[in-house]
Amino acid sequence: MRSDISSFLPLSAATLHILLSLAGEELHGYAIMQEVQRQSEGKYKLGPGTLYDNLQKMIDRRLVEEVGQKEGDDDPRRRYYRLSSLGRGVLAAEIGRLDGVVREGKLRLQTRPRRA
Amino acid sequence: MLRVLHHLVLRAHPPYFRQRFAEEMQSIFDQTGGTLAAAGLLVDAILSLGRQWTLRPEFWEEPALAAVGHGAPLFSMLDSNKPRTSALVYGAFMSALVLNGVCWTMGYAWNHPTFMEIRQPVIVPPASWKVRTTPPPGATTSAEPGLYTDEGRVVLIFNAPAHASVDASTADQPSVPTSTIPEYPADPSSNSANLSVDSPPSVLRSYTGTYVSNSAERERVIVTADGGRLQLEVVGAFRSPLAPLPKSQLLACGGGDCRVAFSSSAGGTVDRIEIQYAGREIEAFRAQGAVF
Repeated sequence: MRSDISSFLPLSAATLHILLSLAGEELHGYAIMQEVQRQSEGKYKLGPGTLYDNLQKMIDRRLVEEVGQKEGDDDPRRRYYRLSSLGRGVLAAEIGRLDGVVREGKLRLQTRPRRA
Repeated sequence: MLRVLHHLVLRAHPPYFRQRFAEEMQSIFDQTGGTLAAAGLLVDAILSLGRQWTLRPEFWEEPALAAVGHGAPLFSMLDSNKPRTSALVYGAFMSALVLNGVCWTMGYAWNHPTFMEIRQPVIVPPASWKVRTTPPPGATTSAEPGLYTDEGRVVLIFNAPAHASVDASTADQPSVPTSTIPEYPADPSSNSANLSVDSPPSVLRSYTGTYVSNSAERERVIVTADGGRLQLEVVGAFRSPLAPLPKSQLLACGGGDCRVAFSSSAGGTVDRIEIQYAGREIEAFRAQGAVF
């Protein structure tokens, strides 16, 4: 299982943001776009083309599952997506990898280079 | 307008992607307000179109039905593959439209030779006639041969002075190959039998060929260009050089009672010959050598 997860890493920025946005709850495409924009404080904008291209790949890799339509939704064309257990594991592994990168980066930046 | 364009771009996506996500992408477009944002989504859809067709060949087609979901029998899944009625009607309409367009284009090009190389006869007046332009007193003929069309009928008109035929009688005789086919008896009273048609070979070639009648006898008429003159052969009957008939739209073939007229199609291709001789009439149509 661990080796399967490591084969997905590192994740692209779009994949990471989509997985992160789905970590909390089931969302439809437009909500994923808005959530990604909120998470990145407007610095990363995901277009529908990029979103669904990545969703398609993630569904085929079983990282994301399609839930379908929800009753009571304003627009019947919307479909909802959720994170699979594999997707959650991959996201956790990527966060851990990034955490290591951040720690290493901070360590390097705190160490002042010696002058000859 | 932008919505229509966006819809068309989504429809151009690969089938698999379109079936799964086109409705949702259109839904997002409908939720977006503002022309600028809509234009941005249109650009995004165009980029997605290029990405899907160039980088995602695995998603071009619907995956094979390896497993039928929800326990539904396979035959019930075939129903969705039947073309919609609107698609059939649209296809029939487009087919008829394209077919009509092709037919119209071919017809237009045929009637307007600018767009298609069609050989058209160009008649140049015989040089000998230009030299001998002294008409007899009281003669009103004008030496202005040319090609005239009248309801698709091409007529060679040679208005030669009456004495031109006499002068032309001293010209070179046509080189008719010897054969067992009898020459049509010349009429001594006709002064047009020995006129030569000094037309360019390309013009004469447009009349040459084999013509076959539609009658029960299936007469074959062969027109050749030998020695700069048209030669007529009614197979099994006679052979004779053709000569223009003064003050007439006909050609004479040997004797005084033999008359020949060529007709052409609307496109200018000579495709019919009418021969009157010895009380008979032959109407024959070009069987080979037609120009298309």
